[in-house]
Amino acid sequence: MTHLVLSRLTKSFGAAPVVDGVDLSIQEGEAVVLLGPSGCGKTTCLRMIAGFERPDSGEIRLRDQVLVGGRTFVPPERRRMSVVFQSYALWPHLSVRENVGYGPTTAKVGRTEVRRRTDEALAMVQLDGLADRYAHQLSGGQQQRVALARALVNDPALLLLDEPLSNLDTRLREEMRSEIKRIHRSLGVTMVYVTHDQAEALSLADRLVVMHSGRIVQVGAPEDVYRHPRTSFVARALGATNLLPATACGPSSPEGVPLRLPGGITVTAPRPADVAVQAGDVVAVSIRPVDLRLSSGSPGAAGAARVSEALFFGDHVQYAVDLPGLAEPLKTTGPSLGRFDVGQDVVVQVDGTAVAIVSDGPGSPVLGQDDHHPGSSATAGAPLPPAPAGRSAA
Amino acid sequence: MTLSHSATSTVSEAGPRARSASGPAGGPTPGRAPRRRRSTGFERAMRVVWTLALLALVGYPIAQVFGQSIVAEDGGITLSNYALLGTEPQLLAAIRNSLWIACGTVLGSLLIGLPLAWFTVRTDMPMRRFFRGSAVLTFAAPSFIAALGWVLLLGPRNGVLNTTLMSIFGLEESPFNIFTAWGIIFVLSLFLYPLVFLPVSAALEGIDPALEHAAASLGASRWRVLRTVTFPVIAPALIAGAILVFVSSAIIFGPVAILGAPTGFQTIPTVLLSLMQFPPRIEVAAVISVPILVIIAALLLIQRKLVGGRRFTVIGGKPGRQDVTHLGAGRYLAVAFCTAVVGLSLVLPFGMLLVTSFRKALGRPLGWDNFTLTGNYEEVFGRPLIAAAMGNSFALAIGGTLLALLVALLASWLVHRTKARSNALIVGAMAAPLAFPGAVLGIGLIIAYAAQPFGLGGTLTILLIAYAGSALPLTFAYVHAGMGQIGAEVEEASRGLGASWARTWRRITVPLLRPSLLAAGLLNFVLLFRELEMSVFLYTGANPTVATVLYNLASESLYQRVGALSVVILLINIVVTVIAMRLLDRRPGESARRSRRSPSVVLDTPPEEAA
Ligand SMILES: Nc1ncnc2c1ncn2[C@@H]1O[C@H](COP(=O)(O)OP(=O)(O)OP(=O)(O)O)[C@@H](O)[C@H]1O
Ligand SMILES: [Mg+2]
Repeated sequence: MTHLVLSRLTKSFGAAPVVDGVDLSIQEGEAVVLLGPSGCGKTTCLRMIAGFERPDSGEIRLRDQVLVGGRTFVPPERRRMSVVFQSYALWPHLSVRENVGYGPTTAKVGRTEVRRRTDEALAMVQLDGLADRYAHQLSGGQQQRVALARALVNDPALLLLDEPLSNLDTRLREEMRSEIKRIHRSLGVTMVYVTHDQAEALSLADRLVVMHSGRIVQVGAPEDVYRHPRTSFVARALGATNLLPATACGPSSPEGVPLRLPGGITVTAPRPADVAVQAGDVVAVSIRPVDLRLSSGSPGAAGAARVSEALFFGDHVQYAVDLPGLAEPLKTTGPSLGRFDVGQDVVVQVDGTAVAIVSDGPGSPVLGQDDHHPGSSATAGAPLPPAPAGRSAA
Repeated sequence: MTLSHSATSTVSEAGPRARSASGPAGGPTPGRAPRRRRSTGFERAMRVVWTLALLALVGYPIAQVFGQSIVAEDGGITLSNYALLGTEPQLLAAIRNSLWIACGTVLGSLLIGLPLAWFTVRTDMPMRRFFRGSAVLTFAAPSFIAALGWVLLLGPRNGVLNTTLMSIFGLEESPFNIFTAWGIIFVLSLFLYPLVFLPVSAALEGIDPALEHAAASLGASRWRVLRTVTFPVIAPALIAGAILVFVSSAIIFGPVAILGAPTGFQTIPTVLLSLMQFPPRIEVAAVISVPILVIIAALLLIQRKLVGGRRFTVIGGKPGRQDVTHLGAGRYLAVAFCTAVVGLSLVLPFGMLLVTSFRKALGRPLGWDNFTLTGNYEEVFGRPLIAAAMGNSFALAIGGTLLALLVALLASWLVHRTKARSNALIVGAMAAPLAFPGAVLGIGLIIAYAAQPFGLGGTLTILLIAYAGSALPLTFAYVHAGMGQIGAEVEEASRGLGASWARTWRRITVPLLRPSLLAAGLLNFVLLFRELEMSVFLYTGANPTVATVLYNLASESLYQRVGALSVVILLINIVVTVIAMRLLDRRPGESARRSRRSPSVVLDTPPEEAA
C-alpha cells in the first residue's frame, strides 16, 4: 500500500531552488534511502516531510491524509513521524528513561504504560541497564541507541533518519548499521534514511533514491542502481568506478548492445533503459574496478595493458593499469595471491553484464560521434560526488 | 557545487602536505632543549613578579579585612567582634534591605531580560539587532548617572514625569516616588537586566534546534516544547545570570546611595560608607565585610559550576538553524515592549540629564526663557575642582587599565606557556576580585595602605591600586581567551627562526593579541573612568575624580551641573564604547563561529590561497 507520497515538492532559500520538483512515493514498511552529495537537499527534503520546513509548492500525503498542499499544513507534532538526528538531540537535562519516555508521556498514556513502552524500546536497542544515566554519561554509540529508542517508542507512522551514523567511528557505524537493519525488519516501520555514505545506502535500502542538486536522478533497488547507473554521476555516487568511452559496433538487440572498448575489448552490454544506441555511436560506460579481471598476457592481444601502480592491502591489491587509447589509467583490484608487479604486461578482461552505459544528463544521452579526445570525454561532463570518507571526517 | 567539491578535496590534500613541509623549517629540535632549561629561571622570576603584583593589588588588602575583623581592642585575636552583627540594629536593617533590593532586582531583571532575549533571538520581531545592541550599550552605561536622571524624572516634588502626570490627570499628589525601595529596584532592574539577557540570548541561540524538533516530532505542542525542552536547557544560563544580578544589586553603591539617601534607606555598601566616616569604626566594617565576601564567593562558585556544567552541554552535530516564531500582530506588542525597555533604561534618564544641562533653574518649567546652551557647561568647566577631577579620572583610568593589562598578560603567559600545577590557581586568582564588592576592596585598601608605613590615604596611588585590582578579572578574561587562540606554535615558529623571546613577543604575540588587548583596555577605561564604588571610600577631599565630584554635586542638589557633567562623562563613555564594540565584532572567535555554520564558505577558498 502506498504510504507516503511527495509530489512536485519544491523549496528555495533565496533565489536558488534547494529541492526542485521531487516526486516520490513510499510503500508501507519500506526503507527508502536518500543518497547524494553534501548540499543536494536531502536534509531539506526530510525536514519538509517532518514538517519543520514548509515547501514552496507541491504536496505531501500520508496514507489518505494531506499533510501539505494548498492551504493545508499539518504541524510536526501532529504528523506522527519520529526523527533521528545526526546530533542525536538527546535532551541533556533528562535521563535516558525520561528521554525515551517523552513521547508516551506527551501522549498521556498513563504511567504504567509509559514505563512498559519505555522498557520495551530500551530493550529493543539493548540499553536496559543504562536507563538512569544522562546523555553525557553515554558513549556515542549508546547515545545513538537512545535516540533510536526515543524515535521508535511512539510507534511512528514514519521513521526519519538524517545521517544518524555520521558521528560514529567506522566500527560502530557498521554495528549500528546492522542494528538499524534488524530493527527495521522486526518492526516493519516505514523509514526514510538520509546519508551520503554509499555503503550505508546500499545495505540499508529497499529502495535507493539518488539526488543531485535538489532533483532525484535515479530511483531503484540498490543492486539495480549499483549495476545499472543511468548517469556517470550515479555511477560515481555508489562507489569507485571507471568511466570510459566505447563505440557501438552493431545494432542493439534484446541481448544487449555490442560495444568496442578502448584497447580492442569487445563486450555485449545490457541495453540502457532510456536511451537508444545506434551502431557507430560513441557512448560512455561505467565499469566497477572489481569487475575488471587481469591475467598475464603479452602486448598485442585485445585488452593488453601494462600495470602502472600496484598497492598491496593485505586481502587484495589495487592496480592502476595503462590501456592504450586511454588517457587515464584503469582502476582495478585483484587477489593478493599471484599479484602482478608494476611494469608487467597484462590482459584486461571484462564481463558484458558488468558494463553499464551511462548518459550524462538529459539532453546529451549519447556522446557525439567523431568526438574529440576519447580518453577524457567520458568523464568531462560528470560532476564528482565527494569522497564519502573525507566528508564525514570533515 | 561541483567546483566546491573539487576545491574541497584539493584543500584537504594540501593541508597535511603543507603542515609536514613547515615541520622541518618551523621547529628545529636542537634549539628546543636549551631553551627549556634557560626559561625555567625566567619563568620562576615571572611567577614571583605576578604573585607580588596580585598580593599588592588585592591579596593584601582583602587579607587585612579578614585580619581586622578578628583583632580585639587590646590587639589580641578574638571572634567577639562578630557579636556586633547581632547587636547593631542598623546593620541588620541594612542586610535586610540589601536582600530585599537584590531579590526584587532579580525578579525585575528576569521580567525584562527573558522576553527581550526571546524576542530578539527567536521571533521575527523587527529591529532585533537594534534592541540587542542597546542592551549591550545599557551594560556600559553608568547606573548611578541613570539614577540621577530618574531623580529628575520621578522625584516626588519636582520630577518632570510626576508633574506632567499630575497636570494631565489633575492629581493632588505625585503618583510616583523614586526615593523608595521600589524606585531603587526599578532603576537597578533596568540596568542589570543585560546580565540575564546576554547569557540567556546566547543560550537560546546556541541550542541545537534538533532538541526542540525531536520533541515536536514526538507530538509535543509548542508550549510543551518550550516548557519541557527549551526552558530547562537554558535554565543554567538563566540561573547564572540571576545570580550575577543578585550579587551585583546587593552590593551596588551608586544608585542606592542616591535614591536611598533622602529617606535614610541603607543597604550594606551605604552602611559601610557611613561606618568609614568620622569617627571611623573600621572593625565593624570589617566584621560585616567578611560574611559578605564568603557568601558572594559561594554564589559565584555556584554560578561558575552552572555555566560550565557537563550535564547541560550538548553533543553537537552540524548546528542547524533556529526556528523563528512568527508573531503576527504580536510583533507590535513585542516592539512596544522592547522600545519601552530602551526608553526607560537609556533614553528617558539620560535624555532628562541632557535637557537639564540646558536649564537655567530647576524650579521653573521647561521653556525658552529657562534655556541656556552653555551656561551650565561653563559653570562646570570653570571650576578648577572639576578640571582636576577630569585630569585625575583620565590618568587613573588609563593607568589602572595599563597596570591591569600588564598583570593579565603576565598571568595568561604563565597559564598558557608554562606547565606548572599551580597554573589553575592563577586563573582562579585573577577572577577573584569579581567577588570583592567595591566597598569591601576600598575598605581593605584603606586598612592596608592609608596609614603608616605606606601613608597613601587619599592619594592618587591608592586609587590607582584600587582601579587596577578591580579591573583584573575582565582584563584577564579577554587576554586569556586571546592567548588561548594563538597557540604556542606561532611563537615557537618565530623562536625556531632565530628570533629572541623579546622579539617574538614584540613581533608575533602582542600583534596577534592586539584585538583582545584593545577591547579589554577600552572597556576597562569606560568602567574605570566613571568608577564610584571604591572612589567614594578612598576620597578624602584631596584627589577628586569625576564620579566623586558628580556624587557631591548631587548631594548638594546642584542638578543643572549634575546634568552637564553627566553629559560630558556619557559622551566620553559612548565614544569609547562604540570603538570597543567595533573591535569586539572582529574577534577571531566570531569568524570561527560563523564559518562553522556554513562550512562551504571556508572550503570554497581557492586552493592556491589555502596552500
Ligand atoms: N534555512 C536555510 N536557509 C538558507 N539556506 C539553506 C537553509 N537550509 C538549507 N539551506 C541550503 O540548502 C542547501 C541544501 O541543504 P541540505 O541541508 O538539504 O543539504 P544536504 O543534502 O542535507 O547536505 P549534507 O549532506 O551536507 O547534510 C544547502 O546549500 C544549504 O546551504
Ligand atoms: Mg543534511
